[in-house]
Amino acid sequence: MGAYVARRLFFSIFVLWGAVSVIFLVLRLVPGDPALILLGPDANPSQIAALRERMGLDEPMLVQYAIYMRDVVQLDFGTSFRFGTDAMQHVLDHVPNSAQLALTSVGLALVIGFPLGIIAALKANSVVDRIISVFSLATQSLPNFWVGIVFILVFARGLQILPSYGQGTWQHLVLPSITLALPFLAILVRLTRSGLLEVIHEGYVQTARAKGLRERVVIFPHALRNALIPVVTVIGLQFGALLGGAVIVETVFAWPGVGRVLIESISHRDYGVVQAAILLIAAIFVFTNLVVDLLYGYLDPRVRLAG
Amino acid sequence: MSTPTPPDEDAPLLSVRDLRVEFGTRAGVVTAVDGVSFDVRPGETLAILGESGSGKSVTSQAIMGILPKPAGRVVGGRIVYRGADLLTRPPAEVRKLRGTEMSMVFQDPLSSLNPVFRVGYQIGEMFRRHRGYSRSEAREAAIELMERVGIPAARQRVDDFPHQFSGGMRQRIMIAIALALDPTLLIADEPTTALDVTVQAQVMKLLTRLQREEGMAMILITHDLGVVASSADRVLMMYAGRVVETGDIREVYEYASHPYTKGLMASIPELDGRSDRLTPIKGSPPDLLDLPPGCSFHPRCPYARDVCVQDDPDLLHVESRPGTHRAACHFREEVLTDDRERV
Repeated sequence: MGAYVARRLFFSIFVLWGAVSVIFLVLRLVPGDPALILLGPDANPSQIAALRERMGLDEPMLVQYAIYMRDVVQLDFGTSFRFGTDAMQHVLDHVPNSAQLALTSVGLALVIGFPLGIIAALKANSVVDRIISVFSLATQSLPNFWVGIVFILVFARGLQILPSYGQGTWQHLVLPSITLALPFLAILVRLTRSGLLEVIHEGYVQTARAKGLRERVVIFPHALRNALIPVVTVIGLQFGALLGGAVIVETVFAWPGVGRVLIESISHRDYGVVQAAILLIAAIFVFTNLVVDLLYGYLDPRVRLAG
Repeated sequence: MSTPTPPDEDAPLLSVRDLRVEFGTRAGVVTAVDGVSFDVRPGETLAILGESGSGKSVTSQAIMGILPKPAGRVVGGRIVYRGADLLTRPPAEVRKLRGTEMSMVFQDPLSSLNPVFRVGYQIGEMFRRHRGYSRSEAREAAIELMERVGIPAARQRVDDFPHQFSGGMRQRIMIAIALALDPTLLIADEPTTALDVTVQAQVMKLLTRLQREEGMAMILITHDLGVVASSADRVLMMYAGRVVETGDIREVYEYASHPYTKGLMASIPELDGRSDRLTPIKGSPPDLLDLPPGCSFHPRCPYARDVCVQDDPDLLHVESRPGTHRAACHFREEVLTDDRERV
């Protein structure tokens, strides 16, 4: 187990290296000069050249990459062109906001998604099941940004009961967290439903009934513990989608999180901040997947985590 | 003044009367069990014999009240246990009988045990849920039971998971669960079929030993004629959802009066080499969706005549034999006396 975790952590270094290298390359391939953007359209060429030199952008790309990598291994993730402060610190300052939004969304999705999935499975092919299935199919198909805009139109502009942007009170959290939770919730409902339906005819569920256990005990824990195994796996994979969704939702609702920092930094070609944000998001993703895999081993004792 | 009648020694523990079970399938509704009746008396072993699809497992699921839902449902008959019809009692009441009064051992112990729970938990659950034991009490009781069903080093293995045991040991754990609360009736649905041949005899011996010790009745469902011969008192032959022959085990084996029973007996290989060729029953098991008219067995029957196509025979006394021997064949006396192997 310890050896397994160590090996996974070792390999995740390469994953992070790959992620940050790709974003380094892409940032420099897309058009747009950070010095030009920073100085504005009225700047003269010599000013721009001077700034480029100060930013280190006059060097060949390979040299820039080597310098960046040298700094990164020393945990120096560069400086923000815009603010002149430490890039990673700028990103980390916004992590609590993102965590608040993401955890609320995941919590909402779990608290609503599991029960709906269980109800749908236990009442399979009934009217209730159909309603739940249509609801989850719809919410899974609707794009985040569209749902967010509709929410703003209905609840903020129309009914005027909730704020449309920014952060502060719990009311500010309602619309963005629901918007972010919906697709995740939909997947959770469908997975729980199919997972439970798959195991409900297994021999051990029949055994649980033959043991004279209450139907409630037959479902939880006997059937559900088994049904959750595939659900947990997919939750891990879906976490990436949730992080991507957060970028969009934070932008729509002007939520001051990492996602919004990322978008703003990209439009300003603030290379250091973009790279730091991507590195952090990739690290969270890798870590979450490791946790999910460990959880998988706990949920299914037949799985042995080989070091 | 009437004196109260003394408890009848021979009063059946379980009476199944005219049981009918239907299954909804994609292709249509199948009558898996069609008018089956039998009794089980305290302490005795009744073997239900038949090939796949004969309705023997469905019969046992119906008795236990664990038919796969919503596909399977009882559409007629009575299942009377100790005077109470299980089909009309409230489900909560019937549930409390399961595991305490009547228990079941299934065919495949690997799929019947929950893969994500420790075996000690699965055994101990019987004591915790039905008897209100604490976790530690239930654990001790589980260890004791594991020792009783012959699992070596029970104390060390109580926290293992099912996949860490061999097939035979898993079935012993299944038996431990079934016998935990000293049931009066055990239903064993092909308890040895999924096991290695070498282990089969051990598990069967364990079952019969425990049955004797507990004095419980057993319904043994199998297609293994050898298992039946060594451990059953009475036998019920099933074919296409109906009982075709029933009686005491020796009686039915030696004086088979239904062509299907007779065919099965003839298909057993004999080690002493009296017959050097196996005699299979010709044809294949019937399609329950499209049963032949009249007697379901007639397309495969060497004795079949016109009447068999038109008229489904009732399960009737074989007149020249003792009263408990009954067969569902128009020509049961002829089959009984016919020495030729006409299969």
